[in-house]
Amino acid sequence: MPSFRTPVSRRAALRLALAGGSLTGWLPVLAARPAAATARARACIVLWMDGGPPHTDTFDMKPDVAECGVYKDIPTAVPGIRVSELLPKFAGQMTHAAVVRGMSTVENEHLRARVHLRTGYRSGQGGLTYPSLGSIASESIGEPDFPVPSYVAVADVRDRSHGPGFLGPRHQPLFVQDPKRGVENLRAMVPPPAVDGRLGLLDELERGFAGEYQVPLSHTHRSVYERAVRLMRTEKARAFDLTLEPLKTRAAYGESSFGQGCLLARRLVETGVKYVEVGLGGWDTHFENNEAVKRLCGTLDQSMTTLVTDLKLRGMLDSTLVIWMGEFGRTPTFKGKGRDHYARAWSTVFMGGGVRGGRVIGRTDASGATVADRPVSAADFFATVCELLGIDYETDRDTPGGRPLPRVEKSGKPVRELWT
Amino acid sequence: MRRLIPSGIALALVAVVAPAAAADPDPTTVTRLIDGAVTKRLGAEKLTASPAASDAEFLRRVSLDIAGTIPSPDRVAAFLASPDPDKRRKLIDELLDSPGYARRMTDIWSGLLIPNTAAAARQKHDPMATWLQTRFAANVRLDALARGVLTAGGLQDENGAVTFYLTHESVDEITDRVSRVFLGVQIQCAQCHKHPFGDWTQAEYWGMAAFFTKVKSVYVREGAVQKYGAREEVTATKAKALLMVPPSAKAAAPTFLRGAKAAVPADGPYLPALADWVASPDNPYFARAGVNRVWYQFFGRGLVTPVDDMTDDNAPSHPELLAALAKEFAGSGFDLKHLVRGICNSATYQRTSKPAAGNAADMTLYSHAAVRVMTPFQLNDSLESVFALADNEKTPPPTDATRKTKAGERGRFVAFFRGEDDPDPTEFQAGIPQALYLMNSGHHYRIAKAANEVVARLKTSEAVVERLFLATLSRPPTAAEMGAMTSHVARATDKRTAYHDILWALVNSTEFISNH
Repeated sequence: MPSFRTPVSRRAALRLALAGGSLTGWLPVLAARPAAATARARACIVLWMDGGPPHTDTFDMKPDVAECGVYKDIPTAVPGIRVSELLPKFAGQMTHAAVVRGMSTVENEHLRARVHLRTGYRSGQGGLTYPSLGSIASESIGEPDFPVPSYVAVADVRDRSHGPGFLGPRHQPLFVQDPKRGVENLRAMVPPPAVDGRLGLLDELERGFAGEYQVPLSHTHRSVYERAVRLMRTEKARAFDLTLEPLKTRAAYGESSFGQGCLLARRLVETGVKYVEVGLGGWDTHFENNEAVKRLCGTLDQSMTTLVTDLKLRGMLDSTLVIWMGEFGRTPTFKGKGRDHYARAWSTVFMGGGVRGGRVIGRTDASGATVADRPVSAADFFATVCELLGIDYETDRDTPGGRPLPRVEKSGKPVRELWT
Repeated sequence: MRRLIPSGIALALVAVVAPAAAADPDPTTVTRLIDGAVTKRLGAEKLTASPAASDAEFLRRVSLDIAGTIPSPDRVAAFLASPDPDKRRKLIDELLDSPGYARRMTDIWSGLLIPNTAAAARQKHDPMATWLQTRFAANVRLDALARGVLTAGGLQDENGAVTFYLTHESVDEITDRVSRVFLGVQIQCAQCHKHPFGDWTQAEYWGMAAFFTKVKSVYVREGAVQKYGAREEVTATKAKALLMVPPSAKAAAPTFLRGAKAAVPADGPYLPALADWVASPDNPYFARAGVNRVWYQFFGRGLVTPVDDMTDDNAPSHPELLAALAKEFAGSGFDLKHLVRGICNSATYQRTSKPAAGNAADMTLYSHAAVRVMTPFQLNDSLESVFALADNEKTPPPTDATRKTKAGERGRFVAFFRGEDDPDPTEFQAGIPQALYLMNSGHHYRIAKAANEVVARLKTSEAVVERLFLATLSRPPTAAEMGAMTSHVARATDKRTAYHDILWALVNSTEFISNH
């Protein structure tokens, strides 16, 4: 069993998995990691609108149908494309953005929909727990020996849909609770040689328990500790310290947790992290939809546009894919003062990362209720992101049950109009 | 994906619970039911059962499961040394009578009754905890507890149970919770569309939700003190509705799940009728849901899993056992301690968690006990138990003020370690931030102080190491471990910090954070 004191090579990780009794059969396949030759983007930032944002108040306005909403549409920097008046700064950046208006998915309940839109599969399908997109990115394009986890989530709500599923604990997200505080307790309370001594004693204890009880949690616990120790020892962890940014920059992103999370995402991508999710919660507007959406769009518009501008100024926008999405949309008409969940027709937005901006792909009908042109399923969405990130999503790979499966459900076809 | 199977099985459930047999206080009834059913099934599947857990393993597990914390090192030493053949049974009774039992049950039920939402976080939770703790300490029956929660009214200070209503935002949210917690079913998907698996319809969903439409908020201002509460109001008042009511719920008449319209006049109260139905021995769901929850607490999985998704097409692992235990539970008047006592005395519960003879892959048939990760409450309280090594006669007992600070710290610790809702207890959920906390946070000083106190009292390094093992892993070290630890001390220039290192390694180990 490898020691905590040395970085764990992939071969060692495999040995560890076997010794620790982890039964997943995927590790040998990992060695045949496909090269990201076709990648258009090197990293991905997902802005996750938890609860489900309404398309007819944001990126798919229906100004001619009074029942669809009270907010007006405004012109953008691209002639012919209009968005909500609640997103004026975004309107100015339309040249960088492509709006997909034909999202059409199948889960209407939050947790099931989160699983569906974070993993590309339906919850419980085939009896497997599927990896999230962040975990797939960590597996496929993360550098195995990189000391910072390849997948970081500043999540408003964290649940199992974020998890690595059958890819195992190595590809768990690092959750950051409060971006202003970053990762706490990074410094050991004793000098480095003493830390080594302590970890040696821990090794001794772990070996005994893992051998006797043969449970996967031994392996998971060890994997988490190893990654924590590596994070303690790397200079790259400075990326989590937002106080190293000028005050002006911090203010430009907005004081909210979401705004500071967007800034953190930029710093992490700069340092080599591959996948960052930043959550903005509160979109479950069954009641008082209009007030909530106005408030949330204010936060969103400032922080998201600052992020895109910042990435552009640093020359990172072309290699960083930014996605705006929720787990579903909301009903185009009202129930009382609220909107209910709605998966049949909704919008996502793609920016940077090789996407050709200034366009709208797909169309809903006159009242925003169904997709009239270019429907995009969850699997299609996944194939699209994988294609942009250079992740092989079509080849069958072993799963723990021994049944080979591709990373994205076979029906998934990428939305190539985003870059062609 | 689950398959749809014909309804009609729901009807079969009704018969299972209906006749409430006379209460049988003898725990061996429950024990016999469990061991009979589990052994029969293992035989049918040709699986070998692992042998009984050692005294050390049993003591640690049953202490965590009933009282929520690991035993003190003195308790471990005494239990291991006792020659009494009846000591396990006596230990179970002792733990059930300890304050730890009520606290552990309160932790579990607070988590079930109070949502993990931003809205709920704005309310005081302590009154609910106090209310529950009093009831579990007195072994109030589960039906009475459910009635108390569902019909709660008044100010939070007077009746802590109203916290249940105060921490929910809408009638649909509370409908989901009541169905999941007290009935063991998830009907929330029926809110927007016909449920694809459980056959709940939208009409049934809103019929349940309609019971909660008369809950109004209560607000009193005494000088600078503001007091909040909730009460069902049957006459028109100026009081504001506490829970948001979607139009679909306004239109529905109060209707029991899978049952008839409630015989409640439109101008009368709804909640007493709901409570009577929910907590009745004739309710096809209530006893099963209660048994399944308690089973989960002791085995790490329900007889039906997920524990709150007991639909027709999600079959129990041991159907006859679930039916028999539900009948027994209802017959005992929903006596939780009776159920717990029976479970803990069973050979099934008392098996080792070490796999044997090819049964390692079995996760569902109880050939060996599951290794579970401590809940955040158990981890906090177990760490406190380790830090209590530093207590000595010179330390004054905590005053009320310091106790309050401690409660706040416990809450913060639990919030930080709390993972996703409904985690799988056999999986390690904590991530890098939690590992960093256990390795590097300020509790380093408490580790040092605890180790120092042990060193000050004992003469040899062997004696110190043994006590540190008893205090953390609830067992003596193996020869190899003793060798490694004492040679670490021998090598060290600063002996004191060498013991800090050992205690640090122990509380950071997989064995420490697991309930095995």
